[in-house]
Amino acid sequence: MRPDLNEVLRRRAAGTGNMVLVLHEVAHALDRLARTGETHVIDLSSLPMTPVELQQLIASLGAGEVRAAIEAEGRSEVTETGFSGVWLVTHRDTDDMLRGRYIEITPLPEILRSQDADIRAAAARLARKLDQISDLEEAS
Amino acid sequence: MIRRQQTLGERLEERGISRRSFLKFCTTTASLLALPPAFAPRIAEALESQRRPSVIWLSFQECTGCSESILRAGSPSIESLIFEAISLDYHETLQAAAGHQAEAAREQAMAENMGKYLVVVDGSVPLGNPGFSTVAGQSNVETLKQVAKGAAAVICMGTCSAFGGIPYAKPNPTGAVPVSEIITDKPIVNVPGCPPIPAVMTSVIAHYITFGSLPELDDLGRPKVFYGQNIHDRCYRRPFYERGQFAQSFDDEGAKAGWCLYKLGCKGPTTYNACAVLKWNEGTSFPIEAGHGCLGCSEPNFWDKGSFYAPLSTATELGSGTVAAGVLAGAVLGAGAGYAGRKMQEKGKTGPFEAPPVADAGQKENS
Repeated sequence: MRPDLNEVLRRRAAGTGNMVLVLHEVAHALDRLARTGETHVIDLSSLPMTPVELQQLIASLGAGEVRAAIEAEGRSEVTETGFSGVWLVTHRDTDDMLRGRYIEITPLPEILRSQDADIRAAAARLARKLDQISDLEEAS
Repeated sequence: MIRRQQTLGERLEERGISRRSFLKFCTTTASLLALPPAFAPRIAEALESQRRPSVIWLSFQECTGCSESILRAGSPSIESLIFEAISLDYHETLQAAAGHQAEAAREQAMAENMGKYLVVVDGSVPLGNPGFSTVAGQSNVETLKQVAKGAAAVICMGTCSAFGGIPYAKPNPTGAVPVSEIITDKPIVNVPGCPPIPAVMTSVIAHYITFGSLPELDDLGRPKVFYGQNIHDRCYRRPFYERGQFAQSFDDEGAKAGWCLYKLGCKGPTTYNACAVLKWNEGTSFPIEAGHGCLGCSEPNFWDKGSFYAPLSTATELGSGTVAAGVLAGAVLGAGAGYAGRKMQEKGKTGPFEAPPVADAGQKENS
């Protein structure tokens, strides 16, 4: 007898049970962050979860005060959840394909910070720009 | 080709690519390699500070499709940057130098990086008449032995160098063999595919640069993270297979409805690769999504496993009556069919589905 596709899909939709486990992991990591400052990252793409479970997980975490969009070789979104210190980070490539989805337990996701090397390069770039402006002013 | 003393960090700066982009690349690379996210900073640090490793690319009996695949990764993608960021000291198709100058560049790179350089090979090696394939008057097998001697590792790019590929197919007129039959004293990683997926190649290199070792390999020398699951298990058409809904021809209603291509010869159940996940052409689709069955190009001897258009259950010339029973059994067995199909391919004689033909199976034979 052939398996019924609808039954298969219903069984799959029932879920893997990983949603609650991830929430527990987030809770433990958040506790550690509060007590010791230790940060943690959970790679959601490495965990089998149904689309329904993923939606439930995101809904359970809720939305917080910060939502940031980053354009760096494709769009990335960083959202603070309803629990301070718990962030949802999504990376897409230049074709808008999903490349990774993470929960970061940290005061500030690393991708949001200006990076040291970029800051150094920016300082040099701004200095060059000021030189050019000075040169133009002198010439005029 | 590129100033070797530049680090990747310096090169990123020169090209105006932000560290955020780079950090993002390292994070998603860690995911690709199934590493914990905490490894991303380590990958970034290693890639950023390393001098670009010397890579010598040897092309033997091949079609250059593997080079095309890698180099046509979206431009300017970070992947292509990483590829560019290695010091590609020898590649017959890409290098500007020719003749004696080209060979001198290879010898210089080997001397300067003895014991540390990577060798990438695409193409199989003919052991018949040495004249079948030579470069600068030297046979492929001599070149391979000479260059591999001082290598840290050998990466076999594509099915030809990994398993012999099309030149190895019957009757193998050139006596072609894969690299692993010649080089036995160096670490070898096989990245098969005709051609392989660009991100797989760049990730293997990223892993090597970061950890100084090759990724974990399966029993065919392939990185487990990319070749650990078969196409069928990750195929979006899998539910149709489980329900026994198969396209019977390339233009029937089933094909238009996106049903399973098993009966049209799809080799997904016996093919281990990441096409269904990583996809092709910058993540656009993969052969099955485009409406054609998987050819099984990343498996050994894929060219000699029967017709590309015969179902796995008949690929080794079984009687036509077994087709219906095989497909029916496949529908019922689900995941077991992949294993059974694979065992059948290994045996090369009997089919996995030995049940007698069922007249009322509801499946028409695909003659």
